[in-house]
Order: sequence, then C-alpha cells, then structure tokens
Amino acid sequence: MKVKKNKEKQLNPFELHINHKKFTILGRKSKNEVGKPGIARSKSIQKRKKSLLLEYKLKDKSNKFVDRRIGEKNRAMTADDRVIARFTASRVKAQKKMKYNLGEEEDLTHHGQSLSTIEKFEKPISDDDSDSDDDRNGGKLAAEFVEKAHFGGGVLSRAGDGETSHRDLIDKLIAESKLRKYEKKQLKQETNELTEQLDKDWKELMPVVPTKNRGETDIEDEPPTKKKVDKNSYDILMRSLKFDRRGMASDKLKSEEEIAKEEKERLEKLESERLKRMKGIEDDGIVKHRSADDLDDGFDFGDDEIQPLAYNSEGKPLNTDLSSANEEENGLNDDFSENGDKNEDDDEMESDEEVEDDDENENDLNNDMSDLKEDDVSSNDEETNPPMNNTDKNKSSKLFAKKLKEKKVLMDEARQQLPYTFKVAELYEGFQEILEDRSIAEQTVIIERMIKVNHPSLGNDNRSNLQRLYPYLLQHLNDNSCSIDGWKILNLLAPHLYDLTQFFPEHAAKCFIEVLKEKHTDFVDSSLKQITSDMLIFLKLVPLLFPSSDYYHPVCTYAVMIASEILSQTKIKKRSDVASCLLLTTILLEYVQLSKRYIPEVVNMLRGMLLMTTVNSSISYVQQFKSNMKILTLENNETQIEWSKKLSINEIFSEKNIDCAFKLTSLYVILDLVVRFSKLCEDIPSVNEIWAPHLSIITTLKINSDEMNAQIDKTKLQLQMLNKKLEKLQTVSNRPKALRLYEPRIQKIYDGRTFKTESKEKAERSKLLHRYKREMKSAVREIRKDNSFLSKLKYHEQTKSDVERRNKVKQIYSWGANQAHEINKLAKKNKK
Amino acid sequence: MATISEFKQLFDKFLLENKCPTGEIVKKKYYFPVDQLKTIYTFMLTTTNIQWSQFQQIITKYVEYLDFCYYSWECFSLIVQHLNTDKTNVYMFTNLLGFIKIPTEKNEDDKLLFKNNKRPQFKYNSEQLKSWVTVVWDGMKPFMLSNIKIRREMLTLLIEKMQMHLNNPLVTADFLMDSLDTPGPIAILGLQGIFILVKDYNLECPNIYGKLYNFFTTDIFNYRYKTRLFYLADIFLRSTHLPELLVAAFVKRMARLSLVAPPTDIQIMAAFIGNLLIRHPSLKVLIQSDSVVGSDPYIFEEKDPLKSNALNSSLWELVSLKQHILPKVGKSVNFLFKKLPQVEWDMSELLDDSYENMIDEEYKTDFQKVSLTYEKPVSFSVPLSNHMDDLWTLDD
Repeated sequence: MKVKKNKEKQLNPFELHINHKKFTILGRKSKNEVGKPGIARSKSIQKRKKSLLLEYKLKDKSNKFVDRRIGEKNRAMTADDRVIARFTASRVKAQKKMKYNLGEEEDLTHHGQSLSTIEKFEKPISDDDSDSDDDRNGGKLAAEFVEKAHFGGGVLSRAGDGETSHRDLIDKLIAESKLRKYEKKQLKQETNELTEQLDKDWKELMPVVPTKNRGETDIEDEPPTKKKVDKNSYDILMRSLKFDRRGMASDKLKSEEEIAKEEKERLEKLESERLKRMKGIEDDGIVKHRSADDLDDGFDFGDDEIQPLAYNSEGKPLNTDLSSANEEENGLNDDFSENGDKNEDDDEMESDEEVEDDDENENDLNNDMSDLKEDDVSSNDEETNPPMNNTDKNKSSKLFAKKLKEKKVLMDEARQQLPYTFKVAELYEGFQEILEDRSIAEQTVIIERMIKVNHPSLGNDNRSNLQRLYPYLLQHLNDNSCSIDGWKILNLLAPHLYDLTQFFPEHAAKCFIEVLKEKHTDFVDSSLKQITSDMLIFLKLVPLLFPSSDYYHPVCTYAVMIASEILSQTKIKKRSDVASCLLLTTILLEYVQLSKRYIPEVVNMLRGMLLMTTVNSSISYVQQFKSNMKILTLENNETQIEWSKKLSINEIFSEKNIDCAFKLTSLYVILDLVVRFSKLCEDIPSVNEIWAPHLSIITTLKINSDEMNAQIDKTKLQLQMLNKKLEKLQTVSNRPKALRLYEPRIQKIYDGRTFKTESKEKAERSKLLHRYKREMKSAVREIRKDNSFLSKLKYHEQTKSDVERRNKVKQIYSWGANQAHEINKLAKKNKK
Repeated sequence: MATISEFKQLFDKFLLENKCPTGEIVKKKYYFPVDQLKTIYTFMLTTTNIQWSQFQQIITKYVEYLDFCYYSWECFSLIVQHLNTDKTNVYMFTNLLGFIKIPTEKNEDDKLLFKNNKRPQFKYNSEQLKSWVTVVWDGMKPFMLSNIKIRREMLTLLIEKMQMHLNNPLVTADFLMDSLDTPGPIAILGLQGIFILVKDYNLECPNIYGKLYNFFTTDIFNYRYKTRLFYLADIFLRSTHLPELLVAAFVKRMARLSLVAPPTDIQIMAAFIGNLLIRHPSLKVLIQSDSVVGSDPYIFEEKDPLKSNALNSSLWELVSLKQHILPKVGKSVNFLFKKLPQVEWDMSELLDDSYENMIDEEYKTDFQKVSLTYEKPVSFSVPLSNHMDDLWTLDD
C-alpha cells in the first residue's frame, strides 16, 4: 500500500512545467524551478469554491435564520431528551443567580411578583399611588384602562359605554400617555430654569451678604420650620448645603516647602542662564562650512571671532534666551501686579495695617534670603570651596537682614507723613519741585509711591510715565552726587531702580549708556583727569541692575571699558583721588566677583598704590604711576594712632591733607583688595606672575602696628599660596588631523542590465511603482480567474436547469400524449 | 612788539618783488629774493607774542612752490648760524623746519613763485641743498643736547625727511645711538633712525636686537611712540632666519607685558605674537608641548634675550588673558586654540586703535535684548557680596 501511495505522489512529467535557467548562480536559492500548473489550478479552484462560491450562493440574501435550540440539530436525541436538557439548562442559569442565598428555596412568582408578598396583602397598589408616583411606574397603563381592556370582558360593564370600541380605547391610551409625558417634561424644564435663576441671584447676592449675618439668619429661620413640619427641616438642610457658597476652583495651596522648592528651581534656572551668558559661546565644537576649494591650510577669509552670546551685533538674540527672558519678565510682572493690588488695598486702610504688610514683605525677603543661603551652601558643597567663603556669605546675609530692618524703621517713619499718590512730573523741574525740601527717606518713599501708583499693570500710559521717570531718577542721582547725600540716595533708591529696570530693560540700558557716555566725555575732556563722584555712582549702579558676569553685556561691558580707562588714566595727587581710585577698584571687584575675570588695570592700580606706600622698591612702575608719587609713605613714628579699618565714602569728597590715619586705612584697604582680587583669579595660569610684584612690595613693607602687620601677613600668605602648578600648553591643534572623508564611491557590477542613477527618493518611488504594477497585474489576473470560475458555474447551472426543463417538458408531453391516448381510447369505446 | 599785520605787510612786500624787481639782477642766476625771505623768517623767530598757527596760516599757501621751499633752506642755513636761545624761539624754528618741505627734485609741473620767462630758469642743485641741510643739522646739535623737547622734534624731523638729505647720513649714527640709550620715547625715535641707517646705508649695529629687546618694559605703554615701536619691532623681526631663541624671548616678553597692558596694546601684542608664531614654526613649542614644569622658567628680568630661557617656557599669559574682562581682548588670543593660519594678520589696523576709539565703537553697537539681574538689591552693595560693606562705610 505504501509503495502505491508513493507512486501516486510521483507526478506525470507532462504535468510539470520546468523553468530553464541560463546561468547557475552560486548561493542563490531558486524558488520556482518547477511549476505544477495542474495542481496549482485545482488549488485555486478549491479555494474559490470555499470563498467565492459561498459568497455567490448567499448573494442577494440579506438575513439568515440560526437555530440555537438545544439539541435541535442533534439527531441522536429524542424529543423528550431535548426537553429535559433545556429544562436543566434553565435551572442551572437560575441557580447561578442565587448562588449565595443559602438555604432559601426558590421564590415562586406570579406576574413577576413573588407569591409570598402577594399572600401578605400588605400594601395593595392603589390607583392614587400610581398616579402620584408617576416617576416610579412610568411606563404602566392607567388602572381604568387595564380594568376595561384586560378584565372588562363582562357584558354588564360594557353595556354602559358601548360607543367606545377597542380602537378608540387604544387611541385614548396613547393620547393620555403623550400628554403625561409632555407635562412631565414641562415641569422639569421649569424647575431647571427656576433653579438656574435662583443660583444666579444667589451668586449676585453673595458678596453683599456678610458671612456672619448669613449664619445668624439661618439660626433664626430654622426653629419655626422645625416646629411647622418636621420633614421640611431635612429639605432646608439639604438646600442650604446645596446652595452653600462654594469656593472657586483654585490651585492647591502650596506648603512652605513647595514654595521654597519652586523658588529654588526658579533661581537655579536663572543662575544657569547667567552662567551660560558668562561663559559666552564656545566655538570649539562647531564645524564650520568648508568650501570645496579649501586647501586645509587653516587660512580663513572671514574673521572667525566668536560671536557674543546673547546679543550679537547682527541683532539675532538666541531663541532660548529670548523665551526664557520673556518668561522671567512675565513672572516678575505677575509678582508686581499682586503687590500692586495689595498696596491699593493698603492705601484705603489704616497705616497700622500697612506696617504689618511691610513686616510681611520683610519676612518674605528674609525667606528669600535663607533660600539663597541654602542655595549657596549646596553649591559650595559641590564645588568644595574653602569654608571661608561660606561663613563670609552667611555673615553678609545676616548683615543684609539687619540693614533691612534699620531701613524699614526709617522708612516707616517717613511713610506716615506723606500723601499716598504722586504724579510723574512732565518736566524734570517739576520732579525736582516734588522732592524739594524732603529728607532722603521721604524722597525715597515719594519715588516708591510714584512707581506704585504708575504701575504698568494698571494700564493707562503708566509705562511711558515710568519711562520718563527713569532718566529723572538718574538725573536726580547725578545732581546730588557732589556730596555724601548722593550715595545715601543711591543706597535707598537702588531697589526701586531695580524694580523700574525690570519693567523696561532696553530703555534702561539706553539711558545708562547715554549717561555713561556723558561721564566718559566729561572725563576725557577735563584736563584734571579726576574721578568724580557721579562717575562712581553710575558705575556702582550698573552691576546692581545688569548682570556684570555676562561674557558680553551692552551696558556692563561698556561700563567696564570706561571704568578701566578712567582707572588707568586718572591722576592721583590728593586724598580724594586715592579714595576714589580705591572705591572704583572695589566697584570693579563687584563686577568680576562672579565671572572671575581679569582686569589688568586693577592689578596695576593696586601695584601702584602699594608702591606709593614704600620708599624705595626695585619693582618697576606701571600705568600712570611715577616714582615721585609717594604720597602714602608711612613714617614709623606715625603708626601709633587710632585708625579705622573701613574707608568712608565721604573721603572721595575730602579736601583735607593726607594724614596718618588715612594712610593706614588706605593701606589696609589696599591689602584687603589685593587678597580679594588674588582669590578671584586663583584659576588663571599666570596668577603667580601677576601677583609677584605685589608680593615683593608687601614683603618690604615694615609698619609698626600690630593690626596692620596681621593684615600684611594675611596678604602675604594668600599671595604665597597662589602656587599654581603649570603644565606646558597643549592646544587643540596638536591632535592628528583626520583625513577628509568623502562619500564611498562604489561601482556597480555590469550584468547586462542598465541601472538608472537616481536619487534615493526617486529610486524608492520607482521601486514602489514597479511593485504596484506587479500587484495590479496579479490582481487583474485573479479577478479574471474569478470571472471565469463564476461564468463556468453559471453555465453549469444554466445547462442543469435547461436539462431539467427539457425533461419536464418531455414529461408533460408524455402526460398529454397519455391523456390523449386515454381520451381516444374512451372515444373509441363509446363509439363501439 | 610786533603784530601779525606787520608780518603780513612784510610778506606782501616780499611777494611784490616779483612784480617790479629793483636793484641788481644777476643775469645768469634764477632770481629769488633770499634776503627778504630771511628777514621774514628772522622776524618770525624773534617775535614772542604771535602764535605759530597764525604764521602757519599765511605761509601754507606758498609751501607748494618749489623755489620757495628750496631757497627757504638756504635761509635756514644762514639763520641757524646765528641762532641763540635768548633772542630767538628755537622751538618755533623746529616747527618751521618741519613745515617747509625739502624738495627732492625738479619736475616740469612744479609751481614756481618767481617764474619769469625773461629771466634764467630755476635750477635744482641737490648737492647745494644737501650742504644747506647739513649746515642746519649741525647748527641744531647744541640745542638738541640741551633741550629734550627740541631733541624729540629734531629726531622726528631727521627720521622723516632730513636724514636722506644730509651729506653723509652715517654721521648721525653716533647721535642716534646716544638717543637709543636715553630712556623714554626718544629712544624709540633713535631706534627708527638707526633702522633707516641699517636699511639704506649699510650701517652695522652691534646688539641691535638686545637693545630692541630691552625696549619692551612696562613703561612702553605710557610712551607716545609705542605704536612706532611695535611697527619697528615687527620689521626687525621680519626675517625668518633669526635664531628662535631670540624670537622666543621677544614673544615671551610681550606675553608677560600683556598681563599689565591696556586692552588695545594687548590686542596688538597678541596679533604680533601670533604673527611671530606663524613666521617661525619652530616656536610652536611655546604652545605645543607635553612636559610639566612647576613654574615658568622664563626670566623676565634678564637683559640678554638669549639667556632668558624663553624656549623652555609656554605662553600661559595668553591663556590667562582669555579671562580678560573685555570680550574683545579675550577673543584676541583665541588663535592659540586653533590651527594657526599660513597668512599673517594685518597689524596696521590695530596700531591706530585707542581706548577712546574702543569705547566709541562700543557706544555705537546696537543691542536688542538686555538681560537683567534677578536678585533685588536692598542697598547699594551687590547682593551676596560683602566687598563693599567690608571696605566702605557711609558714615563719617
């Protein structure tokens, strides 16, 4: 048998179609070496019988009948078996529902109601009830109708109203139920409308009715209702709950920690932006466009200078910066608007409250401070800075807070004696009039109120008002700069100028650049080459308002240029000159304290100042210093006097001669500045060379004062500690130069066919088109085969029915013949 | 007391000579009233109350005339012999010398003040002129040694025009070497004079590089002629055959000086150093080396460039300057971190730069967006800094 089967599988060679190959190619799998057309055709016919034929048979038939009765198709079952099986199935289904009703017998029912309840006859369902509780038996028929239609079969009852036929009854029923539905709908709508109206009224009423009163009325109202009807109290309670004032949805109240965290994140973001600006763009990683003719000789036509980061000369600010800056601004504006609202309220209230408010502000500020402090601590930990810095900063922040408090007291006094609103004058003279005869604290309050009243968030032309105010304030500072008052004003005005600058940074920057330009031309044109107080005030103000740590900043860079020029060209002859130079040096220290950049003019200035204190030194003179400028030299017998460790800003106005106390204080400050600057440039490779002259001058200093000697030793130690280990330079260009890479050039093997050289997209497209064509062809072929299959089928059906019909016709003819034969037979019989 | 109107009259009279020449006319010679011109110049030098600028206004028109300039120098040679600091204004004389050109040769289109076809033509005699110039130079020598201002003026004059018109320019070498050793800006002028002699007259100058090297001190930034020094140093160091030890010393010295220099000079020196590195590829050890040294082996104080040990050093100073407060300066040293180009930078633009130019340029730059500080100050000291509070007080 097996052998036979094998034989059957062997195909007749005439039924095979062999695809001949021209070449045998190694490693290529050929799928279609032998085709079996007969088998393939039979397969496709089978497939069509299963799919197309079925569809054809079901054509034009829209529904079908599925018999799901249990055991209906099972011929092995008898009729009884089927009934039993069905019953068990229904029981099982019922059982599933009462799985957990242990021990309880099945509840028998009649008309959907359990017999047990019917037997009790406790609460017969009355007609009234059904009427009143329409909602519950919504779809049910009226009792009257039910009586008549369902049970009214009797003749007696029917005799009275014989005119109502069955049809009339039904119509009536429909009309009734429609009416009822409509009424219900109407009622519901009305209720809704009324409720809405009530809600609206209530909301309008809400702000007028104070909370306390409302509570009282509630208490008064409640007892009588309780007395009247008990069940109403529930309604009232429910309604009172329902219409109780609801708070508007708002953000979750933030905990202290969250607020602190948010603030910290904001500051971190701003700090990271600042750092980015500080560093400027590094162009090392950027691959520039290279011409095809580039000889790789490094020659470059254009100047490949690094573009300044934020605001380059082409006026293309970086996008990220822009958006972030906007955000920043927005955020700040929000803050301010809140403050503004608060302050408006305050203005209406009593001054006591205002003081409280201020206290709050103070607390806020303190909080901010502590955040910053934390921030610093953490960053210090990361950077492993020496602990000195840390304590310094803590100290400074404490001092900060103390100062704030002192200032608050002063300001509060001023606040209570002044009107609340001030207009921004049209002209500077008007502005001067407002501030005339006021103390500095009062002036500050006036300006503060001016800013608050004209807050840009309050609309109008406040913005332009404040923009006008800005130069006035600068002019005010300028006018008062010739005495210590100017610095006191600056001290108090700085926060307000900061606020104003936040409103319109560009305008402020322009104002500052103009002012600085003016100061610079004043300096260049004057033959005295003296540093004046007004220059110092404005140079001092710049780093408060603009970030001096930026790699490039339109205002700060300009200010630094001017400051360093002034510092390198000013003539030092008098006491005030020395003080001004030292003050300017301190100001420049503030400019670079974050960016830690190097200012040669400052280093030279300190060197010159130190040289002025020594009698003879081998160190050469730099900048404007000459060997005949020895105004700070100390005699040993002069040192035993009282002197302070801080210079007074008043010294820059001083016309006095240089006395010993001033010399000592200056020297102390100079040494301190040397320490501070040398700390800043610790990371610069040539730090040793920069400070070597200073160190050698300091080592020759001999002063007969303990405090001074301590300071000298401290400075010496600091400078000696700057021992930077140098490694020889290894600049980037040392790396081996990579060969230029080109696109790999791959030649295609010639195999008789021509390949089009096309772009990638085009090649992809033509490939897809080719595939589409093939698919299309095969689909058409399939459809053709389907058609032939169907036509064959139809032909078969046709022939089949034709044969049938012919047979029938034949049969009929035979019947007819038979009949005729019978008739003929009968006729013959009759004739006989 | 003479007035400017008197001077004008005198000058007009001098000009009218042309119209009606009186007195003896030398037949074979070009006519020019030298005596009259001499009296005019003497008048100028003896008056004390008239400013140089007023004279200048009147003379300016005639400086173009060839014969005027030519015979002026004859007058000068006559005047200089009787020059006296008590009676005459020697400083004015140097001004005058600087103002009147020394005609180099006669061209057809040169304008002549006393041109007359009836009379003999003007002849240019360079030997004659040279002798006059030499007389003037010799005559000025005593004043130069006594007065430093005149010395400076005369040195500039010598360098700019007189040197090539002397009979023997090499005679000035002594004087120039002498000025080379005097400190201050005069030395730079002396250097330039020496440079001209070396270049055009084959003067051999011993240790000129050593002298040039010692020019580079912290003082140069205050000199008037510092750009001239940079220009000269660039020319002196142009040769590619100089010993690298020497060039390295120059490079290192300039780098060290740039630590205390004003920004414009830093830019010049950075470009200069870059150019020297391009010129002398072997100097790349200054920016390319992998050994470690504890401190800078270069000896700044050493006078001899060859003993300064500069080749063992590295250009840390320029790396430090990357931290300079002005972004422009910081960028000028960026070449250190890139491949050096093969073509040198043009220094001439940088030489004219000054602090004022830089500030004006910065003033003109536009800006769109301004970043702001985000910590509100409570007083005039910058938030989170204690410098101001520690060192200064508002109290008396």
